[in-house]
Amino acid sequence: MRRGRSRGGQIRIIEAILSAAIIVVSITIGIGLMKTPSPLSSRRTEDVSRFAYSLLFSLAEAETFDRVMYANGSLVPNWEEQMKVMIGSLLPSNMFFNMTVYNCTVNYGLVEEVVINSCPISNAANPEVFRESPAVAGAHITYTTRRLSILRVHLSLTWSDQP
Amino acid sequence: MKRHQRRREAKRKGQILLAVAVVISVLIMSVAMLTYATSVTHGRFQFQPYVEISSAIGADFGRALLRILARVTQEYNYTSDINIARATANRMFTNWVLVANSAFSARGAVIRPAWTTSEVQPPKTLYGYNYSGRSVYNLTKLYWYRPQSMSAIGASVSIEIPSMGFFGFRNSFLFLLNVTIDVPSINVDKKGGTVSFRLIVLREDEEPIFDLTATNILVRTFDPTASTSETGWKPATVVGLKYEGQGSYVVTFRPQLRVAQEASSYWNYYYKYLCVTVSDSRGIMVEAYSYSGIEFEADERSGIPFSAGGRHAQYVLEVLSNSTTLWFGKGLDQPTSPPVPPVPKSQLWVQTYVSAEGWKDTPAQVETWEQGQRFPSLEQIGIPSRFLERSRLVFVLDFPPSVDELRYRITWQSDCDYHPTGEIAAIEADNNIRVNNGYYIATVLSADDPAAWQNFTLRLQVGTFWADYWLFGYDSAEIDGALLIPRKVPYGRWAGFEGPVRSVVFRRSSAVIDRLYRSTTNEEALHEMALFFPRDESYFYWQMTVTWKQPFQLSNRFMRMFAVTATPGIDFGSLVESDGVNIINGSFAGRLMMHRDLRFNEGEDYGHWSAVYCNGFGASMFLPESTLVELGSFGEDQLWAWTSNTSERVMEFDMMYFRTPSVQFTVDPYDPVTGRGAGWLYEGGIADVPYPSDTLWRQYPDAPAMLLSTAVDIPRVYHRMFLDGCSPSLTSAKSI
Amino acid sequence: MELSLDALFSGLVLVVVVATLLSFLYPAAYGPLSLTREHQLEDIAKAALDKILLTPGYPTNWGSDIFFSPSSMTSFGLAREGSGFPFDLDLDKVMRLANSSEFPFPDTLAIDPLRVATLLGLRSEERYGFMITITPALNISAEQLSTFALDRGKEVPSNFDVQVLNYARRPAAAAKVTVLSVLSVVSAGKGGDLSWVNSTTSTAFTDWRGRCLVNNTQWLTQIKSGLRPGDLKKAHVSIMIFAEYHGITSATVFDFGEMVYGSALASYLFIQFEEEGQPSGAVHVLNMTEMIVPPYYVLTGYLINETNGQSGLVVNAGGKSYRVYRVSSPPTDEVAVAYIIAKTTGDYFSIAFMRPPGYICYRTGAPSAMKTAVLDRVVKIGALHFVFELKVWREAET
Repeated sequence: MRRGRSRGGQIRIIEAILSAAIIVVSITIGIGLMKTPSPLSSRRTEDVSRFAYSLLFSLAEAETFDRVMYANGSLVPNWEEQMKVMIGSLLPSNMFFNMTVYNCTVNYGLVEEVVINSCPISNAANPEVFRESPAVAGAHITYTTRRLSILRVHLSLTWSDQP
Repeated sequence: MKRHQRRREAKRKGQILLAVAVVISVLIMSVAMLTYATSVTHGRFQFQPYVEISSAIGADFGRALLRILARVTQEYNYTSDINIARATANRMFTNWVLVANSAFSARGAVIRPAWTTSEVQPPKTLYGYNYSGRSVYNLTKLYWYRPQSMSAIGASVSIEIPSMGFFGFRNSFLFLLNVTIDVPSINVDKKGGTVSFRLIVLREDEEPIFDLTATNILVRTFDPTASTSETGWKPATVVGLKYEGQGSYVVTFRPQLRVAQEASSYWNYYYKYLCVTVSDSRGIMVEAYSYSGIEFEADERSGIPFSAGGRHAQYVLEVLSNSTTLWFGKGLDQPTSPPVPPVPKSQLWVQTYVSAEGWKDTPAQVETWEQGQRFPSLEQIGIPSRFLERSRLVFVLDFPPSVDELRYRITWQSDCDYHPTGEIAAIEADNNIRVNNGYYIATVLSADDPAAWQNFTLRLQVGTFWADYWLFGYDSAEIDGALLIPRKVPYGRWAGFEGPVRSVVFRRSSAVIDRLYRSTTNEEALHEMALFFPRDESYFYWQMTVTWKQPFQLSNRFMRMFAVTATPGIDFGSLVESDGVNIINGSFAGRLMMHRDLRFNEGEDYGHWSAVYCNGFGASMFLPESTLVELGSFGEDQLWAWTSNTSERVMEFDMMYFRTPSVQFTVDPYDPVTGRGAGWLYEGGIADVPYPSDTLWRQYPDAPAMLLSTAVDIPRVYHRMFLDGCSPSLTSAKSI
Repeated sequence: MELSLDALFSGLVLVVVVATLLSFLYPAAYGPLSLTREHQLEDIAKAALDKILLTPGYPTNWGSDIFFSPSSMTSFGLAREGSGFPFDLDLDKVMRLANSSEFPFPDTLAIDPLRVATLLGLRSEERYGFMITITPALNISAEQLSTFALDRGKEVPSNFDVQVLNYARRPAAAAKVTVLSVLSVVSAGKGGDLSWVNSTTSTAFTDWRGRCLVNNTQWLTQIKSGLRPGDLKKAHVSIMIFAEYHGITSATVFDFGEMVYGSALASYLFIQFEEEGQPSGAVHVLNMTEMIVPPYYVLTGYLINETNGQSGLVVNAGGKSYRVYRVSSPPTDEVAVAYIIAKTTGDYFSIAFMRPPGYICYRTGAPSAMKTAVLDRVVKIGALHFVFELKVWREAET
């Protein structure tokens, strides 16, 4: 009689342990599924991308590229500096930018892109900042100048994590 | 029994625990999966920049269209060639499509543009001017040169980004610049020396353009005091610009006048003729004029009885930029006329009013002459350019039988793609120049090689007949008992151009052949000759100036102005006008014979015309009064008619008759020889009733004068077209 | 006995398990789900912004049609109809948002923000509030430095220090500043008082601080030389500053001295005096308008008085608290500000109608929720650039 009671109790303990184990495993799996990506990086990238497009669009609409880059039909010397100052004045102080301007030409049906800024148009002293930052976004647009040159303007933006 | 029940209860409790644990774990997993799915699904709705990309592409497409239209208008304004401008537009458009597709290919964007067709303006009447409907198609359209003018471009683009699930976006653009001159508002302030007018400048959707300044507006006005070496259309100085709202400006300008003190005709008449070019801040240009054409009324004054064979009197008129109208090298009587604006030559358009049919198109061509309009030029042939001070608009004014008043108008096409005026082309020739005018074939001897025996200047052939015409010759010589008349003749290479109205062949040279020694010289005479061959006419006409380069002596005093030689081997008669009324009709002679010669009879008795003829062919010479005066300037002139020793009939107008023994003459470099004349081919005729009289016609037996001839009618009647006093006159001229 | 202990133990385990589940499950799910929910606010704000800026609304001419009833609006959008370029807004539609104490509209013209919220889909399962602010892209300020005496007791500002900041609030160096100075004068004439206008234009470039100086002394001296002493009854100077910073353009009007503001929509001018500051006695409006078209031109027009004769030009207190006038030359988008001169009890004053007003704020309420989505964009209204900012929040969180 006594032996039957012990076995029954042991089995129950085993069952209890088994139940607990099942629940622990499911909780562990659940925690893994409920992890969400860092809101900081996911939303920030989107914000930066939208901001980049908005800025490029505003500059294009205002014909800023024509006014800053060209005078009397040819490129203004040192226009990159002017562009740098201008863009820097329109961005928050903790934002880095890097702009590249390509002149697009068509030769025998093929599009060729040549970089026309002779020096970087950027406020980042260290180009590594774009690689290291968690939220980098880029945007590019095409811009047809008054001289009927077609430019492709690429703008990369990122936040500086420094206060 | 109890033990069995207890065992069963114990088993159920264990099962309950497990069951609950399983249920709980299922709940946890479900919630976790749902949360994960929500995050993933939300992640799919993360930012996709399709709005930004499509907006950027659409905006740059619109920007590109604006640039293209600006470039097209600027290029057309500069070159006057719409084909070059349009080719540029098409190339730029294609380039943009390629670049845009390439730039956004990484995003998977597919960009498809299309040219659209849309009506930009229905038919309307504005300030008294009627305008037909205007549409934009083939990407760009320019409607210029009217009081209301415009430049327009229209296209659309569709954008799809399949990778972002973005479809069906389409953006259409129509850009234009619309300029209207309020013609009734043109007002002159003679005291202030200014003219003002209202200008309305609108963009697409009839929105006003309100940021124009004086630098955006170029006003050109006509200066009646301009010299012949400059264009009469000169830029004025805009001294005032007032904006009245709704795109309306009042423009005040001061004209540029070469001799202001002599410009009263400007303030009274020419001030209302404006050429206004507007360029807006987008770079788009439009050129508008304050009038759309000039209408003339012309009277035919030759007195030709038009019942004569039902022929028309067809005059080749030439109009200069100041509207001076010429026929046969001389200006017609005309009132003060609106000037022809500096429109691209291909846009000019001539119409004549025919009572039964209304306004009919008249073929026209625009020629370029040298500065000063003295001599034709090959410059600008095939090169689109504007109608300026060196241009001539040439067309035929055709008076049908029984019509002696005609209305015609010179206007210009507003649609820059439509070119009513015919093109002219240079005549290519290695040596002799051939012109087929549809009635005769003209061959003009043209060579660099002095060995070419210069027997005539040009030959006109109709079927098997031909007549050789001579222009100018001087000096004479005797060789082996035979006479060489003339001894020296101008020669050299001719140049020419041809068009739908006429061909013009011309030469300016100092080269002279001495036929006696078969040598050449460039030291004696500079000769400038131009021959005109109207299409489908039986006549040609010429102008000539010979300037002696230095004083030198002619071995024999002889100078010939104009001569004709008949087809050899055929009997030809001769006709000479006498006293302006009578006709001297001479018949053929078989050997060397002088028939009309001052040495033998009344060779000095001649008139405006003469002819050689046979049954089936006649060739005549016409001279106007001014040339007859030139002929008679030495008092030794005659109309010489003779048969050569090879039995060819020759008739020639001489300034100095041939004489023996020789008499020397020294030419005067300050006394050039100038002349105009014409030749007319016709069907000839037959003669009857011999009339022997050595006084009238020095004859060999069997070569008497004749009383009657059917060959008289044509030259006797039609030479009147070439008389200075019988040219058509323009009785009215007004702008339309 | 043993059976009860087993059952107790099992029950305890069960209770612990359930408690653990509850303590884990709810917070574990709450975090990501609420994060997702919060981020949806930004998506809603973005969708609303795109709808407002990229669609013209329906009926498409709802801005300029003053007989349009807001209740018949089926779609809200500010885009200019027919413009192929995005973010090109209709001036009249923007003006309809500009109902404020400074620029009052008659009630029949105002658009209820709650109605707009419904049309934007912000009043569905969740209730969102929004606020739209529109400010010039370039912040232009002018400080009066000195005055000029046109007549005894009639001083007008003559010299100004102008500063231009871009929309990031940084100095706009090398910006081209065109200043259109307009002098409105009422002087004694032979047949009665004369009202006339004189204007001048000057151009300067800002320095590294975004500043430049404007000097109108020479112009005012020239005007004074043509005046008889004592004739001047009223003189008022407005300066319209048009600034262009690498293509970004803005214009601002500065009125020095007392100014009353009216509202303008399409070709109509609304004069409505608020309770405070209302001129005493009848206000007699002179039948002449000046309309300023930046950067160069001043247009003059007259009012079309569609009421009964001369009395239609009188704005009284009480029964006629506001008047509506139609302008002879309808001010299209090019007109930035219109002026009317009015007379009351022997004194003159100017009424200005700004198009659009310098600052527009249109909202359902004040944003005070825990989270507010803020989006902004540079847009074009007429020929000028503005910063359009949209804030959206959940009203349940306020």
